[in-house]
Amino acid sequence: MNAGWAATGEGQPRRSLGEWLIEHGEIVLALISRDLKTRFSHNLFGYSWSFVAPILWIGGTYSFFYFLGRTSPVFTDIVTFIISGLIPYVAFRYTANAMGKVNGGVRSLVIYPTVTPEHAAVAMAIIEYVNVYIVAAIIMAINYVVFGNIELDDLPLWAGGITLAWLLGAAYGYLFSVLSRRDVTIFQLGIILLRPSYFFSAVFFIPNEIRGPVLDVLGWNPLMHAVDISRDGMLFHYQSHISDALYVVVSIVLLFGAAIAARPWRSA
Amino acid sequence: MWGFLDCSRYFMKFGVPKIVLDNASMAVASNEKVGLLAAPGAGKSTIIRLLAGVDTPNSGEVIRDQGGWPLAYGGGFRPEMTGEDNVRMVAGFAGLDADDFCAFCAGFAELGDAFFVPLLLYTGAMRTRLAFAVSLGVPAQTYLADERLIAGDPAFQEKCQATLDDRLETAGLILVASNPRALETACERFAVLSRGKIIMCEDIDEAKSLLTFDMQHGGEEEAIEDMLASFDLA
Repeated sequence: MNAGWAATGEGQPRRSLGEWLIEHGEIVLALISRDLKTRFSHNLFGYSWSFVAPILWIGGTYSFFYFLGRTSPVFTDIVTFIISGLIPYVAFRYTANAMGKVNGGVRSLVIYPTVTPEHAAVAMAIIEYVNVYIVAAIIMAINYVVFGNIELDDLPLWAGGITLAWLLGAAYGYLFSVLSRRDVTIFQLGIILLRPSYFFSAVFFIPNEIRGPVLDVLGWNPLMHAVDISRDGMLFHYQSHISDALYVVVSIVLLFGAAIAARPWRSA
Repeated sequence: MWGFLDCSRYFMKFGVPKIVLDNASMAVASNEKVGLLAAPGAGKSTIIRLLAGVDTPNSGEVIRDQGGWPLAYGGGFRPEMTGEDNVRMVAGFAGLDADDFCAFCAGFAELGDAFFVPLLLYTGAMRTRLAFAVSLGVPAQTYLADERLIAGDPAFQEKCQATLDDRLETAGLILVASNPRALETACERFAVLSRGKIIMCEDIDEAKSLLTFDMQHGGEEEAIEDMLASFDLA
């Protein structure tokens, strides 16, 4: 029996920044591994829903365009146009939704002194970040195979827009997950508030084509900016004139700041 | 240092408050072995949850050390994952080398090939073995135990006891139990949870007599008040 090593003092608190990162990185990796092994264990259909849902969204939005007789506002086909807005939107929504699993997912683990809901939040966010690129690859591959269309103009800009949408989803979801430690229904409220976001986040329109008071109102939506940045990076014949990455970054910082400020507000 | 500072914790149960702690205080050094006796249903698991940071008090402060570790806790295991995967997960949480930790746990739990199959297929006894192996493999400064220190068949109990004795040469222990026998061998200080107060006792006999009195006179307020007056309210 190899019992001797356990009392040698390994696992004592580490002090330098690098060791701190390694220590917390190991916890996050353990949580990622736990989540993936649980997701894939018995219900592959459950995980495949991550990819099926965006395809259904594309189908729904395409039908909407078809019945209204609307064409793509950019020089590209309708499906590619919808995909260009949907991928960053998926990054936002999936990540915001995933934050709902943070509190419940680690409830049985926080008894371990090293594990916190914040580790779970980071783990969930990383999983969703990788997930969105898998979703993007599958959808773009289907678009190429079925319709023969594929566009990716500026990879760093496209990924940058997706990253901003992902961070925005993480910040929004984390804020509501922190608030829901007081009352579990608060997170559901946060998700309900997001439902109309599909319709005013530039998934099926472009900010360049809206004017006046409509733009004044929708311009406050940071997700619209992130979606537009990603679309600019994906489509060959589209350049965003309105999106502002700095505004999205400020929104992300404010949401994370609000979440950190709300953390002491625990359940009574 | 572990303990409570003027801590209150209560729940509303069917509209009636159930008090676990009522302005209770207790201080325990990280390497002390302290046994806290509590009547069944008095809130033993809540005490451990408060000390582990899972639960928060309604008022007051919980004093926690970072080096605490739950003893024989299997609640974090995922049934879909194999014993090995669960052990590797805990190794990640504890910052331990996963291969060494796996080798220790596989050897200690003596599960054979079952170590590599999902916990869904484990019996309760197999889960208990794995939980003990995992918790005793972590180099804690203080172990937090709810009700039991050892479990399983006599041979496994003997092994648990020997390893626990070895760990407790340097580590502390906070054991919350309703059975005084669980405290007798492992603890050096004793306390009783009585009507929301934590009362430090001179020895296990005093703790047992207070717990017995408390359980026998559950509804007799004056008798309990007189009895408590003769003890040191921590």
